Amino acid sequence: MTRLEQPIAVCRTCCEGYEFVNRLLDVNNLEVTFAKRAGKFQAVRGVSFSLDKGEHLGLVGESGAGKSITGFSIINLISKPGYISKGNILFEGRDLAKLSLEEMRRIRGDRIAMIFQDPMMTLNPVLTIGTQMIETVLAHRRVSRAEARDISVERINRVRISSPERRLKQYPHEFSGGMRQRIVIAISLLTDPALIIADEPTTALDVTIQAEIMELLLDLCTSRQMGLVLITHDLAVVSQITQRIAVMYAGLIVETGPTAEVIATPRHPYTRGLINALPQTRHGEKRLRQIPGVMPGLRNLPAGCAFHPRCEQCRDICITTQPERRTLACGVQVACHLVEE
Amino acid sequence: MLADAPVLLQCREVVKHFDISGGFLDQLRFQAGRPRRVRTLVRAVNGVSFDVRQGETLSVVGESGCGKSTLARTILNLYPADGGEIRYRNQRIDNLSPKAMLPYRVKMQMVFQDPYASLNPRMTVSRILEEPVCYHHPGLSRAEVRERVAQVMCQVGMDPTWADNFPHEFSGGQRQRISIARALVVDPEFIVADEPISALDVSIQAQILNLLMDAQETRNLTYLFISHDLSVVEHISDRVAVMYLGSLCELAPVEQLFAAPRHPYTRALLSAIPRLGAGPGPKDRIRLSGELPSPLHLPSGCVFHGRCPHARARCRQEIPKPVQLSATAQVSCLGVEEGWL
Amino acid sequence: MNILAMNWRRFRESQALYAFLRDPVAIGSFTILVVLTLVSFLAPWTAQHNVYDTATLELLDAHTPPAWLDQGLERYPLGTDDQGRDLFSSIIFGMRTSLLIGLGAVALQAFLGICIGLISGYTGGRLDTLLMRVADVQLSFSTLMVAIFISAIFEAVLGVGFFERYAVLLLVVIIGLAEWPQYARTVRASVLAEKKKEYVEAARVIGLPASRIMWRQILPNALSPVLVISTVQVANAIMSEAALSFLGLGMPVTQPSLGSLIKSGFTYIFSGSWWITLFPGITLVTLILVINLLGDWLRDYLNPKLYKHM
Ligand SMILES: Nc1ncnc2c1ncn2[C@@H]1O[C@H](COP(=O)(O)OP(=O)(O)OP(=O)(O)O)[C@@H](O)[C@H]1O
Ligand SMILES: Nc1ncnc2c1ncn2[C@@H]1O[C@H](COP(=O)(O)OP(=O)(O)OP(=O)(O)O)[C@@H](O)[C@H]1O
Ligand SMILES: [Mg+2]
Ligand SMILES: [Mg+2]
Repeated sequence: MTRLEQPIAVCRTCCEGYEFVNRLLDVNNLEVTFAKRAGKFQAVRGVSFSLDKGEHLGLVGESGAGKSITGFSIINLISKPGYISKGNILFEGRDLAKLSLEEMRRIRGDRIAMIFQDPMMTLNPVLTIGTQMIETVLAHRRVSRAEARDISVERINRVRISSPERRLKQYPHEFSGGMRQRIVIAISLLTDPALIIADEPTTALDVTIQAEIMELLLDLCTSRQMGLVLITHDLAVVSQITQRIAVMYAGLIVETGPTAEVIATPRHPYTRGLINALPQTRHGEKRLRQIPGVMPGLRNLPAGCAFHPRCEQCRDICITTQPERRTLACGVQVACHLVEE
Repeated sequence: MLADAPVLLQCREVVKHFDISGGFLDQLRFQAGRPRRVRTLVRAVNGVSFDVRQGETLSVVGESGCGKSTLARTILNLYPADGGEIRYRNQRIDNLSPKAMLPYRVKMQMVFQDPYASLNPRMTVSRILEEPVCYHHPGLSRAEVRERVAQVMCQVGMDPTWADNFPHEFSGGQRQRISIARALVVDPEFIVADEPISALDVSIQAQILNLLMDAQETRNLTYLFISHDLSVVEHISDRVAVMYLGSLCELAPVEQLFAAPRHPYTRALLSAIPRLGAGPGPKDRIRLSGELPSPLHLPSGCVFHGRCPHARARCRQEIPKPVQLSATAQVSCLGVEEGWL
Repeated sequence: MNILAMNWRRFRESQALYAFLRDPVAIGSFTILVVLTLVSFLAPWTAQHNVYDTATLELLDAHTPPAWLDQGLERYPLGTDDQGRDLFSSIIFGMRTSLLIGLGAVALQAFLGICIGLISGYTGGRLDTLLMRVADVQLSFSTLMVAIFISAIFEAVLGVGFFERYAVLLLVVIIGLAEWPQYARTVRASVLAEKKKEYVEAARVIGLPASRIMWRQILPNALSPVLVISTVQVANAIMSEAALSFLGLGMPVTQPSLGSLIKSGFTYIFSGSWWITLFPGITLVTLILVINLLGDWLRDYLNPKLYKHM
């Protein structure tokens, strides 16, 4: 199946050449604050990353690192106690953080689509798939019902589900978990978005189905030049799908760069720890190389580098000052005092 | 290496069906104008036979809903078996009364998947850990019980001074340690671990896996380890059993299974594992056609024939018997039996 | 000592206390309830007249209006009833009886309901079906009807004299028997939810017997909805008592309860002695209202859906 590899190669070259012409999304110094009764805390503490047209970015990190919040803030879906307190999100030249609700609604689901871990977050259990798809098209496009229906049928075809006409009449509960996730992908494709944000789209599914869905997502994104932000905690999946990776820890991106480079030679101690902790990368020894301790809570982050209590190479400077993000020659950005430029 | 170890647990043709037809009124159906009583059975486990040898880690893998948890609970007599025999050190245990089962309760313990649901939220850690000891050893004094609990807490990496806290005050990884401590505190020989790490983060998974492996070494434990993460299974197991729709497809030593899988389903499953750094796109993934059948309506013959790329006429009619490939390996496939696979 | 201090700290830092202190309605209701309860249970000290002591009765003072009216007497701030008893004292004693019956009946309901609900939910199967059908049948009659039925049987079997002597106890039993299905269903529902959790399986793996799992593991986790309905049930039980007394099936006139006071005044309401009915009525309504408000607060607090974004 050559169709998998071809578009990526094209994409890589275009990334290097026309960087600014091709920029799709630019997140600068994003900060998300939650105001709770116990006090304020920041779930995302100054995250910056960018995405070119048709590029795939993997956002990885442990639970509570702020991956979902980062994803949600791109489409301004952060609910009440939380708000974007700093930074801007440039998408196709507009700052999403400053848009009105109505303008945002128009972009959301049209230019940017979101896929959640639980397909039932997107699907309404009491409506048929057809109704939901047609309504979505009508909400964003000036087309007739018949045209909307044709679009829906075409998208179901695209996610490789057989007999789409019949599927339109079915209810979500009549599908298996994997099929439901495909339907959700079909819905997200309805308006030909420029960017898809997928928050752990396969975590609830089995390996065989996960492989199918990921392959599908990859195919669709590459063939249509769609940007993809894939949020997951599975490094192996990210390494197979994305060109760039961003590793989050306690609300910060600690390392980002080309996926192959970061996986092959991780520079931040946390990234290295994560990769070494995987059973697949065992070094001929029976014991796994674990990272000691747990991620600190966001309410009581340690001073300095947030990772220092778990870091084996911790030095004095790590305890006192937060490391700046530095760009290395190979295109990798790392926030660690120990990394030489 | 374990071929000569004594057999600890034997399962012979274990069957477990759940009757989900509800009360008598729900069972009434009209068929051909006459009321009939119809039962709806979920055939969760259908004739599974295997041996667990002392000191080994036998992993059970398979897709969600294939009956792994049901098998584990039936072995521990939490669900009464509907057929077959379960022997522990050559004593039948599947038909014992709760009282007669007590001596085996000390020998066989379980670790659960959900670290949040598996600890009673209203009990302190010390009560959770002391209860099994007090119940099984009523002769021990309070000080002796405490001593024993403190010792086990140290072994699982928990500070014994935390004993007076409630479970909700701990992180998921710490709770899983408490859960393991609860299993270890009665000094068992055999532990069933039902997806003990799938609710945890990657960096914590390695800690818990190491803990399990250390405990196995120091206490000479035997594990039945259930997981759907194949790379973890590959790392931790001595032998692996692959289940599909309530049946055992293949059981083999781990190197043999991962290097040369015999059953077509095992091959498909293994080819779907995402590999770190393998580059974009699973290249030689075996694609399964069709949907996973439901355990409500089992297919005739081999349960896998509907999705098997090699299925022949005989597969549709005949349920394959396990073929003993060696002392430690078996496979249930007519293709292997007849030699065309 | 140490444990006590730790529990006190846990309580002080708890979400419940915080949520409570932020809700003026809850604080108000709680204060009124505590005052009413204290006053009524300290009746021998807070009331001027002992209404059970017939020697203090002055029949001549019967139907004295409240003190602020023309013919009112200083001695009787809220006036007197038809037997010349001080109404204020009667209300205090009556409230004590009502509260006693309410609490006693709820204790009985809770005991029966929890036992039946727990066994029914945990064992399941035929027994569960049987017990729940019984509960359904009883729920399909109104509580009052069941209570009237049971009290009629009691009166017929035990005789009116016996009934009057042990009226408080018998009313507790009557109202208790009439309302257990509420508890049984609530407890059963939460037991069914808890039973599926893995800690119950863990207890079974340890080999603990079913009774111990039910009472020591499941029950403590199934109790919070019981707490919520208990407040409402106390209010309901007090209402039932008042209604039964009003119908003449409850407390005898010689032992005042809020219901029997209302009933005794009701006869005279058109002959001008409105206060005999009005003041016990107001007390009853206040009592029921504050208990229900507290119950509402408790339900809101324990319902995580409403308080997700606290
Ligand atoms: N509504 C909320 N109120 C308060 N804190 C919140 C809320 N939503 C998220 N958080 C906090 O924000 C932090 C980041 O959460 P987020 O959901 O982004 O994590 P994540 O990286 O997606 O984790 P996971 O892998 O578990 O999905 C967490 O520590 C969480 O406690
Ligand atoms: N108590 C029960 N009553 C009825 N059906 C059940 C019950 N427990 C399990 N089942 C059914 O039996 C089948 C096997 O379930 P089981 O939980 O053993 O699967 P599993 O392999 O452990 O899956 P997972 O990986 O999701 O944990 C499923 O179809 C499930 O719906
Ligand atoms: Mg998330
Ligand atoms: Mg399971």
